[in-house]
Amino acid sequence: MLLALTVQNVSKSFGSKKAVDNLSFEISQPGVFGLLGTNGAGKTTTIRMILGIIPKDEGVIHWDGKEITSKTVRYGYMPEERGIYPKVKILEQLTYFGQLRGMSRHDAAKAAKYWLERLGVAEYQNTLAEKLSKGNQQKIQLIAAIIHDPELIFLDEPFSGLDPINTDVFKNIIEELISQNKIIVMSSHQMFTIEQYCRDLVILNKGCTVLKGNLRAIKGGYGHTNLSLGCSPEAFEKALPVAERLGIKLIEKRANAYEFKINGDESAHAFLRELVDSGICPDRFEIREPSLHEIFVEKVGAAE
Amino acid sequence: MRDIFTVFSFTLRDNVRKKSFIIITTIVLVLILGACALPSLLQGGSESEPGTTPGGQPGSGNVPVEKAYPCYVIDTDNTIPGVINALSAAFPHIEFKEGSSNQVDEYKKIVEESSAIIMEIAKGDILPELKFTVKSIFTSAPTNEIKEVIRQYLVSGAMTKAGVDEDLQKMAMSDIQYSTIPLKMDATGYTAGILITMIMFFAVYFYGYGVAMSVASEKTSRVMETLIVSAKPSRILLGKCIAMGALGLIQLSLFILAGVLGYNLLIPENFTISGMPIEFPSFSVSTALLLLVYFLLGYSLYAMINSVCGATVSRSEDLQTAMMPSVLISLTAFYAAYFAMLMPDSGSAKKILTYIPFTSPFIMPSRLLNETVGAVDILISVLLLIAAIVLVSLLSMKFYQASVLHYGQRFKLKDFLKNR
Repeated sequence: MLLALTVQNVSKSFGSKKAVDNLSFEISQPGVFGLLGTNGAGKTTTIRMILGIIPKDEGVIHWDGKEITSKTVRYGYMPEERGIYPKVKILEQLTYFGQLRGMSRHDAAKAAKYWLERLGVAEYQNTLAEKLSKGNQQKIQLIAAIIHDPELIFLDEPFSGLDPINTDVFKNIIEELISQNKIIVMSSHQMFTIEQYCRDLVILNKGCTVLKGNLRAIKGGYGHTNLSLGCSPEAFEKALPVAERLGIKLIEKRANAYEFKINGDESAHAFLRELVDSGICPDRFEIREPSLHEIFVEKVGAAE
Repeated sequence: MRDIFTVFSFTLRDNVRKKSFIIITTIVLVLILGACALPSLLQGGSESEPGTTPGGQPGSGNVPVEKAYPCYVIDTDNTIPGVINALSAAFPHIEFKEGSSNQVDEYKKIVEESSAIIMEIAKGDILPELKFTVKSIFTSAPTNEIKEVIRQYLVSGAMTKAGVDEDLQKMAMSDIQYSTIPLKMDATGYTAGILITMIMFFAVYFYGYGVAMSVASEKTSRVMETLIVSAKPSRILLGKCIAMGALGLIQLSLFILAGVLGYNLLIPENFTISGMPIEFPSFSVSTALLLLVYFLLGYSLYAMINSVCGATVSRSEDLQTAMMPSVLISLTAFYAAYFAMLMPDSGSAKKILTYIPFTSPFIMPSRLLNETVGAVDILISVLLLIAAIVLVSLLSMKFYQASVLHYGQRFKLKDFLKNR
C-alpha cells in the first residue's frame, strides 16, 4: 500500500503577512504533484513547513497518519536557492550529504558515483564545485536530493536556469523516479513542463488556494475550448473571416500557428469543413482543452 | 550521535586541508623552532667580539676606549674643583670638556644633533645643584650615575678634609650587599599560567572565529537549507564546534610538540633571559587533566556563542560586526583574569572570577599552577561552567535554527523573539 502525504488546514504568517492561508491537499499516488503559483504565492513556505524547516502556525501535516519527520519518511529536497560547498570536491560533498541522510560512507560514495555517471558529470567527481557550470551545479544539487533513494521528493523550481539539453536530462531523471513509484512534489513556473508530468496540483496566489485537484479532471471540466490552426499567412487571411462568421475568436498569433477560442466541437468541425471546401488545407488543426498556462493565468488573474 | 560524527569528520577534514590552515601552521612551527634556535645563534656571535663586556658596553681594560660623545661641564664658579678628572676616570667612554656659560647656545646646537650632554653646576644650600641638558626625553644619558659619582667625590673630599680614616671612608662610601632567597626558585608556574591563559584566549578567539566563519559560509553559500533537512540543526552545530575544537587541539599540540623539541634540542643548557632560566613547570596528572578540562569547557562556551554570531549574517563581510559581542565578552573576561593574576593580594577577585563561567577558563590555569585551589572551588567552578555551556547551547541552538534561513538584513535578537 502506498503511503500518503496529507496537508490539512495549514497556515503560516510572517508578521502581519499571511504567507500560506488554510492550505489543504493530499497526495496518495506516486507521480508528480504540482505546486504552482506566482512569485511569493507561498510555494517554498509550504515545502519548508512540510519539511519542518520552518514551523507552521496552524494545521496538520501527516505522512501515513503520523506527523511528518525524517524518522517517519525518507525525503529528499532540492531547494530553490541552490547551495553546495564551493570549495569542496563533488564526490566528497555528495558522500557527506548521503551520510547525513543515514547512508554508510561506502554506500553514499557508490550512489554518488552512480548518479554522477547517470547525469553525465562523472568526470567532475574530483573537481571543486565552484569550477562547475551553473547547469552542472544544479545536477549536483539534484543528486544531493535523491542520493539516499527517498520516498518523497521535493523539487523547488528544478528547471530554472537549465538549457534545453540539461532540461531533458532532468526530465529523464524525473521519469525514472516516477517509474520507481516515488512521490514528487514539484514547484515550478514552467507550466508546460509541469503539465507534462503533473497528475494533481494546487495553484496558490498570495497564500490562498485558487485551484486544486486532478489536472486531467480540471482540464476536462473546461472542455474543448481551444483550436490551434497551422497554416500559411495567406491561407490564414482567407480563414480568418470564416472563423469570425462562425463565432470563433482569434486569441493569439504564433510563428507557426494561430490560436482560436471555440464554443464547442461543432463550431470547430464546421470551420474545418469550410476551410477544406474553400481549398485551404491546414498543416495542423487541433481541438484541445485549455493549457495549464491558460488555466493558471485565468485563475490567478481572477483572484488578483 | 552519528550525524554529529559525520558533521565533525567532514568539517575537520575540510578545515585541515585548507591552505590557510597549512600555511599558518607551517609559519608558526618555523617561528617556534627559529625562536628556540635564536639563543644558540646569539651566543655564537657574541663570543667573537673582543673588548666588550657581556652587556655590550665598552669595557675599562687596557684596550683604548673610543669616546662615544662629549659632555660639556660648565662650572663658572668652580664649585667642584677637579670634577672633570673625577668624572673622566669614572666614565672613560664620555669626553668631559670644560665649557663656558657664554657658549651654551652653541653647545645646545651640538646636543640637538648628537648624544652630547651639557652639565651646568651651580651652588646649592648644602651640596651643589646640577642641571643637565639632553636631546630629548628619550635620551638615555647616564645623568643619575654622574650625579652619584659627583656626590661620592664631594663626600670623600669632605671626609678627607675632616681627617676621617681611609677605612672609615671606604665603609661610608660602600653599599650593603644583600640578596633575597625565595623558597621557590623559579617563576615558571607564574609564566606558564599567563602563557596558558593567553593560549586559551587565542584558542577561543581564533578557533571560535573558525566556527562562526564555517557557519556563515554555509549560510552564504546556501548549503544550510540542504543541510538542515538532512540533520537536526543542533547536531550540525555540535559537530561543527567539536570539529573546530579538535582542529585547535591538533594545531596547538603541534606547536607544543615543536616547542618541546626545540627546547630540548636547540636551546643551550643553562641559557637564561635576564638571569632567569627557561624552564617548564612540572604538572601533576590531575593538574594537567584539569587544565585540559578548562580548555575544552572554555572553548565550548565561546564556540557556541560564536556559532550563533555566524548564523546571524548573510554575508561573510558582516561577520566581524556580528562577532563584536562575543569578542567583547572574551576580551573583558581575559583582561579581568590577567590583571587579577598580576595584582598581589587579589585573592577575593580571583575567587569570584573562578566562579564566573566566562572568566573561569582564563583564571583557573594560573591558579592551578601557582596556588592550592580547594576541590570545592574547582567543583563549583566546573559545574557552573558546564551549566553555562548547556544554557548557552540551548539558546544557541534555538537562535541558530531560527536564523539559518534568515537572509538579507542581519538576524537580531528582536527577530528571534518575534518568531518565537
